[in-house]
Amino acid sequence: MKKVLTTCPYCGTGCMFYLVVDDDGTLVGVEPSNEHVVAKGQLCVKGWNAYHFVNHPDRLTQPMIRRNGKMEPASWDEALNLVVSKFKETQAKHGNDSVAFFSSAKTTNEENYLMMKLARAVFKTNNVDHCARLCHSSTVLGLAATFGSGAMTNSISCMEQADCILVTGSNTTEQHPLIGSRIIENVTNNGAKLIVADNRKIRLARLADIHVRWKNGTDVAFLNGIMNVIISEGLEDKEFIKTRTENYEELKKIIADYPPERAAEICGITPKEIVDVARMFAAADKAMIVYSMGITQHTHGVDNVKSCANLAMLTGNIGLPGTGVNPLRGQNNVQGACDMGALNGVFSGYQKVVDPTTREKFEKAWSVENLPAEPGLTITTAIDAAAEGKLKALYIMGENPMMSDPDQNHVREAMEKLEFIVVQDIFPTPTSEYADVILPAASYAEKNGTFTSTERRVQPVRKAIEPVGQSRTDWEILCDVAQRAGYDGMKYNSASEIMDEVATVTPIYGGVSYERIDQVGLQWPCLDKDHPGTPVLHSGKFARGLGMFSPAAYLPSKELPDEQYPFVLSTGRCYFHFHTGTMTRRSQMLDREERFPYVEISIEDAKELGIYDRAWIYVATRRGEVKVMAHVTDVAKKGVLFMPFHFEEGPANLLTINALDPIAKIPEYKVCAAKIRSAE
Amino acid sequence: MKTVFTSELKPLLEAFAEQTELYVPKKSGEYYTYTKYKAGSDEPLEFNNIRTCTTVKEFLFPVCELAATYPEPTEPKEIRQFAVFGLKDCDLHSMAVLDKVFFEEDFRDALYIKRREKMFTISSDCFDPAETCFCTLFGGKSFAEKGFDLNVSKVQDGFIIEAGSEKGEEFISKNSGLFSEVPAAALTQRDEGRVETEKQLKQNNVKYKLDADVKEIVESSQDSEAYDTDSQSCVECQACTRICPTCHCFYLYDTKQSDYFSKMKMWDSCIRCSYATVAGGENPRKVLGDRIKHRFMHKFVYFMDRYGTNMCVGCGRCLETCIGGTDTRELLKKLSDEFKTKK
Repeated sequence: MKKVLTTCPYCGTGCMFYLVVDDDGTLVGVEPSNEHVVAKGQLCVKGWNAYHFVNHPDRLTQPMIRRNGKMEPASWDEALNLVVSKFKETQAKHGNDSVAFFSSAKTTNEENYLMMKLARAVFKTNNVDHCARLCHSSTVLGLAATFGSGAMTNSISCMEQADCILVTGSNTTEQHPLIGSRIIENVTNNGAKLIVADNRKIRLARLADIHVRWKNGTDVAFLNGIMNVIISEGLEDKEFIKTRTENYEELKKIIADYPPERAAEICGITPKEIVDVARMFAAADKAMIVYSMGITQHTHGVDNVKSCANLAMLTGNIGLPGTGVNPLRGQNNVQGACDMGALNGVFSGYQKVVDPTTREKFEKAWSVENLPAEPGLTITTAIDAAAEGKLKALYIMGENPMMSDPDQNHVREAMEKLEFIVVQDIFPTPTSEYADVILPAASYAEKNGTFTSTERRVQPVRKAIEPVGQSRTDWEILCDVAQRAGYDGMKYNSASEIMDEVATVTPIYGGVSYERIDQVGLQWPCLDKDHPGTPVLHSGKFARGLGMFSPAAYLPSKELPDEQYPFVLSTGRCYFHFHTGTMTRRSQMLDREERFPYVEISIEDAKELGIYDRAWIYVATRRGEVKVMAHVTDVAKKGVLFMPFHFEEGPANLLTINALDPIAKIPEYKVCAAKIRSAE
Repeated sequence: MKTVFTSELKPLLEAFAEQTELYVPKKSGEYYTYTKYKAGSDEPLEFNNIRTCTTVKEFLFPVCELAATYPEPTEPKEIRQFAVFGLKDCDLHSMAVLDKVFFEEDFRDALYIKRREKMFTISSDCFDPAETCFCTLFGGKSFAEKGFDLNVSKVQDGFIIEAGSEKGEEFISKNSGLFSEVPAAALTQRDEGRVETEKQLKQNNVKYKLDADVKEIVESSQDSEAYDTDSQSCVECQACTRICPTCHCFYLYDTKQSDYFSKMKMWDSCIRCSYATVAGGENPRKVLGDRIKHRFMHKFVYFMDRYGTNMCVGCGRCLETCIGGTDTRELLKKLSDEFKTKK
């Protein structure tokens, strides 16, 4: 028996734990790490079960090629040569931007860096993106515009220090349990004030001082209303505004349109609720905002994020422990995948592709010429381009757009139109059914690398067992593809060497090396070998100099309920499953908890429609209809349905709308119009 | 039983490592976890003052194991001799609880029994107990009196080794060259140390002392709201059942392999909602507070009825791993207070 210290592959909290390996090389369990600053000897239910899927018999263990419409086993040589020749052929015929690369928030920093290097340096396209597009692209852009850096401003430990915490659009105890528990602890032990602004009655709402159940998608009006009260009652931090920010007058002007009465009317709440929240938040010495998908996944996601940033600046709650704007990242390495530049418009470290000096720097570092200058397609726009026939070939590493992207029928159309699809994954997925080549990848337990957690902590991932079957680590596969495509600049002996290269071209990772992150990691920015890392961003000075107030006016969601589709449908995750369910649904003890696709419906609505708990019903939108089990619960608000998107047999994303935020291109997963009918 | 003395532990462990797999405690943060002992390694040996943060049940009853295959049965995995060093009295008590379950007539668990037979148990005295330790509330001690093959007590100039079984006696006889006679002063020192630790444990837990028999208290708590209050901060991580050395519920399920089916045996948890779900989907314990109550009922009432002992050994591991900050002692004390008022 041996124990290998590594980082959890589920959410972005970044707990480290030990993988327990039997003498015959099989994973037998997980043990929390007592030394680790976040885990502190504890884990959530997914963490405790994180070993289970690794040895599942469904694992992809051999490369496959589609021959005469059927997937057949192939050798690595055949498979990779085919990938390279098809991509080259496609580019020769239709131009460099006729191919795209989907990187993955589940893979390591090193692998994301290589994916973007492969796309940019080898295939000369900026069509590279990953699923941060679907979760926090609005954060990355919104916070970059206001603060100059698009990441969680503070650390997880700050949750214990705040005097008031505003949790909005985050079901923290279910999606980031170890962060949620810190909030609970602070509230119950230290008497910190808790404001939950979420229309679901989530667990935190039951402990909250104020729980506001506004209408989905009215976040901007709500936040503007709060700021209106703060300004009109003179509760703003005048000194902070004067010395640390700019554009305040513009904010005042727009906020003036949102007196509590008007804001409350838009939000479907009482003006008193807005006034109470404003006073409680402004009165706290250290107030913090915690948010997640409820803020970001809207056609006005960037506006939502900016409004959160405005509120933090208005009350001077930035740059100090126990304060800040804290977006919680949903995947183990979605922060890192962004940091590594697996995004359409930036290299690693958010260095813009449009900037000629930056391109020159990377051209030199990578020994290539003519790096593409225009931002490429995003995940969402690439699917649109494929459906229109403009995109011809797609390389998908560890993503499952058939399940995760909005409007599944639209994605299916895109998949069917694509001429060539490569899927590199650990399990077969609804997406791999469309693949022309399947490349079996090693799981997190079978490789070395790093993940970056939501608090910007770069942490080690360590190999505990050998890759199953013929599977190979993603980084080795990517390097092999690059070499076969005739590029010599992607040869590494270890993942550590890749990180060393990342450090040389990425200022915020400048001081990161495997040696330094051994036990508890390092929080970026970490500029050089002596830099201690940065637990709290923007102390004394914002990354962009002055904080930029960026007021927004309320815009309604794209598709609101009407007579025909009277419900609001919102989607998300449940506690026991993760994303498209490829791993948790293959973990026996997790899958047993939620075995069926379901929809949460309020007790009032269920009564009115004669729907009882666990009855099968159809949920339909203008995109399609899905059969799911009804969970009749007080968690749901009247008129609102909530569906998790983990289930292949009842895919929530068959129903969602492909409406995007104009800047971030994030889809509006949180609001669309739906109707229901009995299936029994 | 034989009691001998040695000034160094390393030769003793080397003697074990020569003939069997040996697991020893290794420091992990403030606590200890088990690691495989590497014979001949230079790593300093750590003598754990308290129990490890993981439990002994992992050696006897792994998280997940193959129970059977079909249509063709397969040979069970070979279980080798192994020894575990540094177990504490609470660990030995927990093994006694598991023995009752897995050795019970009609339900004899072959896999557990096999491992149990192959295990050599080396316990040691506690000193400087953790704030979370509360064994004395349930009749535990800072040192083991039975249930071990060898027990090690640390004293100033060395270690007192006591045999507790024939296997232990045999080991001492075979390796007599490693040991000498116990100096009288060492024995006095050991006994004084034991008294001191015991005192410390009792002092740490004085405020949690229950006002009546724990079974009576818990049995009368059916209507208590304390469980629901407690459940407010519970995030259902289920660490309490996982880390509890006596929780032993398991779940059998089938998986399809390439050309056969295997039946797996895996730890279950009564904190999970689906644990009590019956065919058709009804669930008598849908409310989390009811599940927490059920766990207490099992630990202190049902198990007592069936086996004549309660299931809590007071190791305190559940306090450390609970994300929600639940303190079993506090909850029991609250129930005890309610019990007193009712009377």
